[in-house]
This record gives sequence, C-alpha cells and structure tokens, in this order.
Amino acid sequence: MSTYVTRRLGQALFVCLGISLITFLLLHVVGDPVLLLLPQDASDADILLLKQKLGLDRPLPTQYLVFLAGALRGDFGESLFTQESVLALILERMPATLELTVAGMLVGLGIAIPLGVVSAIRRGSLVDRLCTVSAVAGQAMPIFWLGIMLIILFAVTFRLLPASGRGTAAHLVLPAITLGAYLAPLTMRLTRSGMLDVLTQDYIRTARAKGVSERVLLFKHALRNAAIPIVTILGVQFGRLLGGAIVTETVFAWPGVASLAVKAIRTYDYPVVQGSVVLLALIIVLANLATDVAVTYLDPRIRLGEERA
Amino acid sequence: MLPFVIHVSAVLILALGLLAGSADAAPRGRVTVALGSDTSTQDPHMHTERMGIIINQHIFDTLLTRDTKTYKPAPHLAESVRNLNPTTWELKLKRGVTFHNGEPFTAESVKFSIERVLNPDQKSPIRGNFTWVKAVEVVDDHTVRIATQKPYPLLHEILTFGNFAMLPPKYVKEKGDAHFARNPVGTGPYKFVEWRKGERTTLEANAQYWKGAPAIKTLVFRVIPETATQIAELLSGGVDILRAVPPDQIPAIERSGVARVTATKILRVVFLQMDGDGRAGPGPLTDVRVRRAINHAVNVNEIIQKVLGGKAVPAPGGTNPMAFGHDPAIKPYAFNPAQAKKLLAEAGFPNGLDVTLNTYAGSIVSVDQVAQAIMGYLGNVGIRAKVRHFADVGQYLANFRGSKLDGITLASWGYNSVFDSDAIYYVHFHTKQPYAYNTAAGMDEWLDEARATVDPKKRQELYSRLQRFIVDRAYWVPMYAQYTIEAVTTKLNYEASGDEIMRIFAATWRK
Repeated sequence: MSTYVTRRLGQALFVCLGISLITFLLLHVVGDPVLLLLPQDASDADILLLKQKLGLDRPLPTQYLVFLAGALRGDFGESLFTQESVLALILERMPATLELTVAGMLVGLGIAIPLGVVSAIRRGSLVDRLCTVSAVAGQAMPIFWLGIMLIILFAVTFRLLPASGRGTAAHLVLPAITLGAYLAPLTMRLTRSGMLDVLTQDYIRTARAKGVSERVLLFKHALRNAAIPIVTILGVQFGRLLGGAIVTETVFAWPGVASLAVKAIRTYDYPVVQGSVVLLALIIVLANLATDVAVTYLDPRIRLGEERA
Repeated sequence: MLPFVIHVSAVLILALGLLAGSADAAPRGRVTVALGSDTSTQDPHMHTERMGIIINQHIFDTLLTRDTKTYKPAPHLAESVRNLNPTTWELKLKRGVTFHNGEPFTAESVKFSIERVLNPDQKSPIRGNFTWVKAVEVVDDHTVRIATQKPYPLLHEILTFGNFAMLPPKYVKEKGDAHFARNPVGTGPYKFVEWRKGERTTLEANAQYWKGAPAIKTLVFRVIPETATQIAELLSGGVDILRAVPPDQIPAIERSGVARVTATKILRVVFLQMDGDGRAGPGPLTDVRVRRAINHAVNVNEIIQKVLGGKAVPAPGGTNPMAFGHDPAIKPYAFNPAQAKKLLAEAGFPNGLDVTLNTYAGSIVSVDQVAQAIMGYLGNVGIRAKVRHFADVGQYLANFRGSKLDGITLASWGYNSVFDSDAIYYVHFHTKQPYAYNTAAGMDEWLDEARATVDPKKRQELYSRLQRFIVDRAYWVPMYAQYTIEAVTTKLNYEASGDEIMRIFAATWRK
C-alpha cells in the first residue's frame, strides 16, 4: 500500500513539474507584460529598465529555474500590479472557489446518483429515457449559457434569487446548480451503467434468491460495487469542475481563484496566472491521488494486486 | 506669455453656496455600481486602472477637477493656479478642508503627495507623468509653489489626473503603504468602509464634505466581470449603474422601464494610420497619392451612422473635438470613389493594389464590423485589404513599436486622459517616437514648440498648422471619437461623463 502511494506521489510531482513548465513557456511565448505595464508613450529605455527590474531580460531557462526554486519554497513571486504575494492572493480567494466546487459537486452527485439508480432499475422505461435525454442535453449545454438562463429565469423574471455575487446561502444556489448540471450527466450515465452491470451479476441473483430485501440489495450490494467507477472518475471530474468554475465564477461574479486568474490573464499579470494554474493543478493532482487511494479501500483487488506485484 | 489664472469668482461661490443649501439635508439610500473588474489597490498613486480611478475619485480629491460641461480644468482643492514665471506656478489651496481621519489638508499634503509620486523607491506607475516637476515649495499653510524643469503647458491637465489624489501625510507615514493600500483616507465625498477584494468596495457618504454632502448615503462598487450578468442585475434591481453597455443592448435597457441609457462622447479617437514612411518596409503607401486615394475611398460618416448607430463624432483632423488644439475649420477628404480610382491610376496602380489592414481587440467599439466596412470601401476602389488581427493588445503594441505594422492600421488612441492634442500628435508624428510611422522635419519643430510654450493662442496656431499638414499629406484617415455608454436606474439623476469618470457623488435621487 505505501509503495503504491509513494509511486503515485512521485507521478504527481512529475505532473506538477510538467504543468509548471508548460504554463511558463506558454505565458512567455504569447505576450509581453512590460508593454501593458507602461504608458503607451513609454520610451525604449523605460521598457528596458522595467524588463531588467522584472528579470525578463534573462534567458528563459534561468527565468524558469528562478520561478521553480521559488515555487518549491512556496514563493510564487509578486503580482506585477499590486506587488502582493501571489500565494497570499490565491489563498485569499481559495475558500470561495472550494465552497463553489464542493457545492457544485454535492448538487451534481445529488442529482446524478438517484437518477442513475432509478434509470438502471427502470431500464427502458419512460423515466429512463427522460433521464438519458436530459443527460445528453445537459452535456451539450454550455455552462455559460445555462448560467445566464438561470439568472434570467430566477433573478430577473421571478426575482426569487440574487443574480450574482457571494454572501448568503441564496447566492450559492444558482452557481451551484450551474456547476452541478455540468457534472451530473456523466456521473448519471456512469451510475446507470455501473448499476446495470452489477445488477446482472451472479451474487445479486444469489442474494435475491436468499430473500435479501430490495433496498439492502440495491444500496448495500449493488450501489457499493457500482460506486467504484464513480469514485474513480470523481478525481477527474474534480478537475473538470474547477475548469467549469472558471466560467461559473465569471458569469456569477463569484470572487474565487478562477476569476482572479481570468483577470490576471487579461492584464497579463503572469506571476498570478502562473501561480493560480500551478496551484489549481496541484489541487487536481491531489484530488486524483485521494480518489485513487479511496478506490484501493473500496476495491481490495487493486491494493492486493499492487502488493503481489 | 499670458499668465494662466483660474479664478473662483464671488458669483460662483455664492451660486455654489445656494446649491449646497438647496440639496437634500442628509444623504440617504444605497446605490450599487457594477464594474467589470476590481481595482488592484485603493492607493491612487499605485495603479493606472480605470476602475481604480473611478473608486478613488469618490474617496479622494485632486488639486484641479474637470468641468463636466466644458471639459476644461477647474478649481478644486486648489482654488487658483497662477503662473509666476514660465517655470513657476503658485497654487492657493482651499481652507478648512480635512481628511476623513481629521488630519487637516495643507500645503504640506500637496508637497508630500507630489514627492511621494516622484520618489523612485515608491515605484509609482504614474511617476512618468510628473517628471516635469523640479521642486515643490511650501510658502505657507495654504500656498504652494511648483517649479518645473522647463515651461510646461499641460500642468492644469495633469493636476486633474484621477490618480493624482491628495494624501494625508501623517496617516500614510504612520500606517505605512501596505495598510494605506487597503484602508484609504482622503478628503473626498465618500469615506472608505470596506474592501472585499474581487468582490466589492463599500463607501459611506462624508456628511462634512467641503463641497456639501452627496445625496446617496451608501455607495457600493461591485465587481461583475460578465456584461450579461451586469445587465441582468440592473434589470432585477441588484445594481443601479453600469458602464460599457454594448450598443446592441441599448433597446432592451430602454424598454425595461427600470433603467435608462446615458451616453456621451469620450476622448478615444479611431483612425486609420498608414505607413507613410515605409517604416515596416517599402510599400505603395509612401506615395501621397495612394494615401489620398484611401482617404477618398472610406465613407466615415456612413460607418458612424450604420455601424455605430450614430454613437460617435467625426474627428476630421485626427484629434478629438474635446481636446485642446482641435481646429473645427479642418475639413476631411470628400467621399469620392471615382477620385480615389483616378489617384490610384496616377500613382501607377490602375488595377488596384494589395495591402495589409492591421486590427486589434480591446478598445475600438464593434471593431470587426468597422474593419469589414473599411475593407468593403477599399475593395470598391480596387484596394484589396487583408486583415491581420491582434487578439492580444501586448502583441499589437509590440508590433506597433517594433516597426512591423506595414500597410494600414485601424488604430485608436485614448490620450492617457489628457485633453490636449499633444497627447496624440507627439507620439504619432515626432521623429523617433515609438508610434511614429509618418514624420517630417517641420512637424518635429511644431510639436516641440507646442510642448514648450504655455501661451494657449500660440499653441492653438501650431496645432492648426499641424492638422492642416497631416490632412494635406494624408498620413491618416482620421475617423471619429467614440462614446461611453452607461445604464442607470430610473430612480437616479445621473449622466455619463466624457472623461469616463463616473461621478456618482454628483448623482441625486429623483423625487
């Protein structure tokens, strides 16, 4: 077990390193922050001076190593505009993003799992078909569009909920539904297919023959086993959710890391972009690691397989 | 040299006093303003962002302010600005003004604020706008003198700068820059209450404001990046004022019954710049006949009416009609495709020619449609334009400065908020300036002279001469000045301003 976790940690570190390199290269290839920081009529001497001050006159590999050495110490540099620590800026916004992501995940799972189970039990019924159609529609719906539609419906037309911002629980409802709707379709289909697969297994038939009640059969024997792929995919889904959070935060003016990163991209505040991407990537990698470890507990075959190897 | 004196006449003081007396006794209610992005700091000296300037203007005061009708600098914390000699200016300051923390506003506050910006260790991004200052001398508590390196005609303009706010020296020194950046204290109409980064800034009316208390008690600036969400919030009553309304949303807002649109012309002008010097390499545009043909080919008025719905004003000399130096006598080239074809044939292009049309995203309203219209007009006279679009402003500017913008460029210029033609012409027509693609020895002399004289009449003459020359040489196709389009709840009396500073402190409740 510990070998497995160590190996996965090593892989995670390698992934983070790769992401930091790609982010760094992309940011340094596409634009020049110096011109955006100075007034439009700045002289060439001003430009050179600022480049030297920011260390942008040094060769790219040196710049990357400086960034990496800082990042390993938890120092992601300072914002070009506010001279504040990038880490502090991100940590200040992190609770809002995590609140939204977790709420989105709960809404998504809350919709997806019951519907997936019902679809599997009533396979081929009207309910099943409706669920499948909704899942396809949900997957095809751009998150941005759905967010705006919910705002128009619930905030402008019915005036039931606030259109945007963060504060009360009411503010969380529309963004969480938007993000949840983004997560739900895939999870629902996975639950449905997982349940269908398990329900035809011999041990379910045996349990049923032994007189185990339907409820125990469904939730104890079937759903637990069907949960393995759902949990496995949850790590990946968490990454998707954070991606969806970027759009959701923008639409709902939610003050999280994603909107911080979007503003930083617009103003070319590259230390903030770099720090946000690497830290979000780290969270995704850790979430994947956590789900992998969780799956080894749910499915002893993985753990045992590792130990035998 | 004429001394430039700003007087507050007794009549004006009386009128202001009467106005203050007739205003509502106490501030009331709450107004929420949507901003597309947050400010990065509450310290006015440490940023150049429009959103930050809008918030700063409610907490702080500047030495001069801009008259919203004439757009000329007007007295504010400085009651008068007098030219003692070509390089010394004396400012008489308003008496009895205090900062929100009780600290008095004096000549020391002015000296401290100017020197703070100029201190290289402060790393203020607006320092470059103040390098003309040689020294600041405190004469007495309410008189201060500014010595300039050489005669500096733009002093009044720079003293209205939204970023150049007066700071309380004792508070800033005691608390430090980091604290000040999050807890600003000024002399302005609103006191700072709270800043939730990326979310909102909350202000409370300053009942003791020296110009009279504002009508609105609580003012909230909310960060809402998405325009569609801003409009939804406006229509559902979540926000009361928003800026940067897309022209296609105007009818929906006007129809809603809860809000209306207020639009006015702003400083940013749009023009077609041609590479007349062949700076990016030799090309047909070095021939004045080709450049004149392009001027005859483009129907600027039709673009203003059909593409921009009339929300723009012609700027035939290239400079904004609101900026000092604009000459209303300058006439643009007539729209005349036949004449354009004739000129092209004379220049040796009877079958037309191929040219690059550079465009960029960001500042020009409906840029794609405007570019398409221009391509159509050019195509009609045989000029085949190929668009090279820069989605990234940084890349665009780098190419601009790096002598890489060949052909025609659909450019715009915001004047860095200085209402003076120097702000647009110097950088675009002075030899070796980073944006100059059209230069001539004579223009350098006129530009230098206009920059070093404080006599407005002489300066106007120089800029008129320059405009006639630019039009005659057809260096640009001067097009139009843009509008700012804002939306406001029907509950408020509020109008958009041409300097793009939202003056919510001047708004009043509708009865």
